[in-house]
Amino acid sequence: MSDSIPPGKPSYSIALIGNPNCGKTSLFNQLTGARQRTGNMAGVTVTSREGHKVWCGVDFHFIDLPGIYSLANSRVEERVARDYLLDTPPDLILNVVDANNLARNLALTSQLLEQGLPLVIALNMLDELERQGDSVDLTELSIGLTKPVVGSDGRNNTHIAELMDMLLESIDQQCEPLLITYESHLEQAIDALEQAGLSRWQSVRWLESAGEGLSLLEDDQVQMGLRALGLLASRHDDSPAEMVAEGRYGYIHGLLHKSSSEHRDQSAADHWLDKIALNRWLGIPVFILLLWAMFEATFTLGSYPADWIDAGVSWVGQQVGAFMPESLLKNLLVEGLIAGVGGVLVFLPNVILLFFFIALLEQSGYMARAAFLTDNLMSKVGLHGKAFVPLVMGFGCNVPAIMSARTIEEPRARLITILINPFMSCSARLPVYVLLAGIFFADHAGTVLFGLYMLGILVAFVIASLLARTISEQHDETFIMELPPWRFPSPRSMMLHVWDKAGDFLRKIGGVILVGSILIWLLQSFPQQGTPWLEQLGHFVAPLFAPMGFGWQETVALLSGFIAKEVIAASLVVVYQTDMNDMAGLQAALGSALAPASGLALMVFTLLYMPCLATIATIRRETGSWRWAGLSILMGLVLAWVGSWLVYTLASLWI
Amino acid sequence: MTLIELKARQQARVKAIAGPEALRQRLVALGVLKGLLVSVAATSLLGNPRIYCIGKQQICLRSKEAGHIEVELQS
Repeated sequence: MSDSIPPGKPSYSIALIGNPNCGKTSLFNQLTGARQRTGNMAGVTVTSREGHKVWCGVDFHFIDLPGIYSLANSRVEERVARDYLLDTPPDLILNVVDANNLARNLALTSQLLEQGLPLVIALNMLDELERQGDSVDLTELSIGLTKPVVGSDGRNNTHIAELMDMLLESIDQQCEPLLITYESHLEQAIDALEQAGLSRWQSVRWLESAGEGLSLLEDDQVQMGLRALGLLASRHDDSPAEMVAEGRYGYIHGLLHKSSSEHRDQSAADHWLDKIALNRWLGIPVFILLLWAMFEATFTLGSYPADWIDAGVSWVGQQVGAFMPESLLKNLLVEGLIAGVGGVLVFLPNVILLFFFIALLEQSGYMARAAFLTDNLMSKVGLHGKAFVPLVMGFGCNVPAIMSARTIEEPRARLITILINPFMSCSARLPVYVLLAGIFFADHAGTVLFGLYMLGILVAFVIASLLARTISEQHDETFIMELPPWRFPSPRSMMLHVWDKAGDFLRKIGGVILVGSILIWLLQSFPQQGTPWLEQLGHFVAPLFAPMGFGWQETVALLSGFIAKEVIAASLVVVYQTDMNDMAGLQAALGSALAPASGLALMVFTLLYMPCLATIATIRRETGSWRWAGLSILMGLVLAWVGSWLVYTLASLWI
Repeated sequence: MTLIELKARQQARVKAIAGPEALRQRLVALGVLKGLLVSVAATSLLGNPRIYCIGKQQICLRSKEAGHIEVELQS
């Protein structure tokens, strides 16, 4: 293989490795310009991501691995990183290290060094350290580790050139595995394993993970390892993991003694924000207030730009209407395409705002605090605080949210988190709420929005507790979570994130919503004489929805929402085609066709009924069976019908 | 005493970590080591879980796990 590659390989692979929350993903974004999620909470990068950068004519291929604390634990993220390093060794590792917790971060570094991997260290968050009056001598640290060390900052790309130069220089780095001297009994155990044919790092890894962190050993090697572990257990109370850690931290403290100006034990973590956010009595009220403010702002702030877009769409519709001769094509363009696509495009500002707020919660570090606040409640329904992230992400889109449930180790908790996720109202349902709440509850739209999201959460919890009772518990659940420090979100990273989400939304409008609108229009316009097919279909299914006071138009809109929830709004626009061809027209038409109670019921139905096609496919993939996907569909349909009927009946009495 | 008995504004040092192997490995990986100073950083509404300042980090633990961490009170 080496013959076929010309001198100066065309591309070098560089893997980013580091602890969770060390700013690795931000650095990756800066290096590659890739647009992807970064969140200030452990476990947001579940699978690895890749990107490119060309520097001095050399192509660098970057891989962002999930944040891990150790290569010796047997959690999913750790296994992903470990397997990656063994199966497809990268040309170079960029080890991102958080300067604020150097010792703990360097423990992972020492594992990489023992394995003898080529390495460059990026010392991140130096600005935070300096603000606390600390400093690190990069030269001393580099000499101690015998590896290049470069200062970096995920928020400011002044360091990137230096870092890239260092990466270029460090390709084909010569490396000797690091040798840490451990306690004597541990050394004996390592010797025994080495005699059985393991290398030194493999022996250490086997011992510190108590036989978990290595695969593909021969039977006699495993026997030897188990005997060594047994001997250690008889001589020491400490677990081998602790004994290895003692050796690692001994090595690290020796290093830091020379390079770190001050080595304080206690963190400067008690921030005034925590006094409020984590306060025993204020914590939960503040949390609920924040969520409410988020939805209120999503609605009110979003309505201004939405009006401008609406005016723009109407103008385009009028221009096309005025300049094109009367024809079927004109009708398709004006009544199908522009009306349908425009009807969803109007909600772009709301969607952007919602994603902005979710990113703000994640990147500031509040999300982890909210996980702490809600853990007790979550534990009542067989979940734990970690399920909180996938659930809040579900407010954005259920597909990545369900995928992020991979960070939950225990299969039962993970399955429950996946199955209840569709009840977290995704941003695709937002247009329907904004539209209907604006018509029927114009004065309290933000509150109605908040209420719907709360209803979704409530249903999710009830279902979770039912599932927890029916699915048997497999093994002990632990909830150990590191709290990230508060961080001011980097505007650049926030921009990238929101831009990316807006792009997704627009692509969806250009794809499935465009096709959906045209399809609905076709069904609505043919046959040209007699009752259109769409109306026939609507009338056929309508009796099912009659108890909630829905007409055939709403029925059709809900049916079309099976493809993607945004299509519901687009369908309503197309079926209620009015002469005015703008939002005001639709609002007037809907307002007169539906009773407010039906409007509310329609929102509840939209909230609860079956997940969209993409989500169903994701549930199928993540749970590995159609059974759970089927259950999800069934559960949604039944709950939606019962829920909206209840809401309609109750609301009819009050409104 | 164990970590659960630690009260707000008290300081202690980690003396030993017990419990199942997986838990011990996890805590060690997070940098929860013998000899580190611990204090209670926050308590949730119902008292479980709590957040502890352990060494340079803040870690959220449920009582079930915190009960496996033996500490020694510092004056």
